[in-house]
Amino acid sequence: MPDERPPEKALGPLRATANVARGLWVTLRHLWRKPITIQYPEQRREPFPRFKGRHVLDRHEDGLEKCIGCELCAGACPADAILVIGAENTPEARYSPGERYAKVYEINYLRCIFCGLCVEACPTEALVMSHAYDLSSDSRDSLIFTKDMLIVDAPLQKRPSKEDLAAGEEVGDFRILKEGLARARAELGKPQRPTPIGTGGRPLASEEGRPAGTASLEQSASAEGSPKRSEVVEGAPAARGTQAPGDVPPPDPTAPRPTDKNISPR
Amino acid sequence: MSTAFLADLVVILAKILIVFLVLSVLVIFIVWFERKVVAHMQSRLGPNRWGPFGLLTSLADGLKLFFKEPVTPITADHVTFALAPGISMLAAFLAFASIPFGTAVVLFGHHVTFEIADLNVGLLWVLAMGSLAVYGVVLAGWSSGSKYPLLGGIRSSAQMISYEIALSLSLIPVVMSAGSLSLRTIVATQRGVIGSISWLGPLGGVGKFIPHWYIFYHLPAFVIFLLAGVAETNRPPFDLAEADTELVGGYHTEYSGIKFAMFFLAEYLHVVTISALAVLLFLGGWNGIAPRLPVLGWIWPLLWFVAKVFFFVFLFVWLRATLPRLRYDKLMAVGWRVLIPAALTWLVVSGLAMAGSV
Repeated sequence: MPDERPPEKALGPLRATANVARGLWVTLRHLWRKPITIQYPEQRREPFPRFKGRHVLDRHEDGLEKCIGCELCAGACPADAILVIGAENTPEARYSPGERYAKVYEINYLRCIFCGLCVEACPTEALVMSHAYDLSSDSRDSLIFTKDMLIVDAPLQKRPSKEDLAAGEEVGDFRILKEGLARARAELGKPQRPTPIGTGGRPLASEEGRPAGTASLEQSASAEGSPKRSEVVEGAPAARGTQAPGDVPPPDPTAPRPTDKNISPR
Repeated sequence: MSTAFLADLVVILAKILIVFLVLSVLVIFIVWFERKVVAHMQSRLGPNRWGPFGLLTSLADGLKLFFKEPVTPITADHVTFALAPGISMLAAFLAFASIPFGTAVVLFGHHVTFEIADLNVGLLWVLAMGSLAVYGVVLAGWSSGSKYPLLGGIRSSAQMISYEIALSLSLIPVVMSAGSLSLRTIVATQRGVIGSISWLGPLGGVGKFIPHWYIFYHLPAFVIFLLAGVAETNRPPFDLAEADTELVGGYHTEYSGIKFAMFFLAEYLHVVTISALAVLLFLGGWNGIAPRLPVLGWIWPLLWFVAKVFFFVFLFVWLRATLPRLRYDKLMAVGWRVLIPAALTWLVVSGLAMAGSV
């Protein structure tokens, strides 16, 4: 293919100088702008509502596990990251409403590609993806999540039905998309000054118009739990505060399950 | 040995020590300053973990480099490989030996001038040491026994030698105006204001408010000096010797640990030297614009000098944050076809002007 670029034309010295000056002006202007950096371990950006993070296993309202050990998730997994070994429920040991339950349920996060096909495959909506995204570790073993690390203590909030929402309101994907876009615009347009280390807030969730860095813990917490957002979040447990898949549980299976407190940044 | 000689010796040794320490600390500070400014120009935060505003980051980096293992490639020429960073750093420090940075102070009955040595060929000394710095780069590139450093070394030798011509030529008009090669004399001739400018007619009075700095006489020479100075220090947009994106690290690709730190130190020292030279030759050195406050004594001129130098350091950083690297052939074209003829032209023009005004 022939080179279709126009032949190189040398700029006149005046034009060239003007171009350089323009470039210098751009960088000088940016010098006074607020940086958009987020101080990650201390500050976290709230993921989009349908963000595909670490999985959780849901429960029914009565506390029984939703998972029926059917292994469809494992079959759907393109990365072969899921291991399910089912077993029969007995009257003495009943785990799930149906005949079978998952005796072993493991997801290997060294393999998982977070495609969500397993969630789509799940016939009982037992498998849900949370907002937890910091899945790094210095040992491979700790990235294989076992069932007691994945399962939640209390049932996740349901996705609102059309009737639950006020009439005329946009529902479903379209609304989520619009909200996400509006939030992204707000974040880009008015970058918050990063909260100083130690105040523990998630500053981007904090309210606008307030002097930077003054958001206290409870303020940012209340901004986070705003019902408007979490209503439409599909299985977004982290935003609800009832259970806590928002944080990676400790690798030790004997360790206590994650609670609300684990959500807050360290 | 007389006591006077001993006292002089002590004074000179003290001055060398102070200049050495101040420069080392200054370089650490400038590295931090550059990272911070470039970061903010790119909407980032820059170093902020170590100390207030991340001020201690460079110090931590330096310590880390100090304790790192110095790796020598098996194909390297070992003696030269070890020598090259030393040459680089030595030349950079030596260049500062004849740079004055303030007036003088009387300490214990001793008249102490603010410079290590007031050579009557001070400018020549600085330029000569600048040329010596090329050896550090070239030898480092050659002795590494590896292709990227070699390419970086060859590029930088071509670049530094070509731009040195323009750099030196752009300084000659100033030397002609001042009538001296001593940097202290050159600064002394820039005291006061221009005075009324006859060819401006009734507007000529503005000259009484313009300081008698050579930048207002030799602006083209100043621009040439600045461009050549950036190239001479191997700084972006003329950083072809290092050219991270093309040559890995250029001439210092194979260097690690303390030897790498020496190259780093040398580069930033050159930035300070070129900035100081620009201030001394074109911006009146430590002569300020505002009237001198007698209370501050010798501190006032020193502050002016430091402020002006920092303006140029900022300019270096600013250029780095803004401009992309020049292509190699364009760089040489600018050096030989634009800067050198322009410098020569200005030399002739100012020579004719001086001859006409006599």
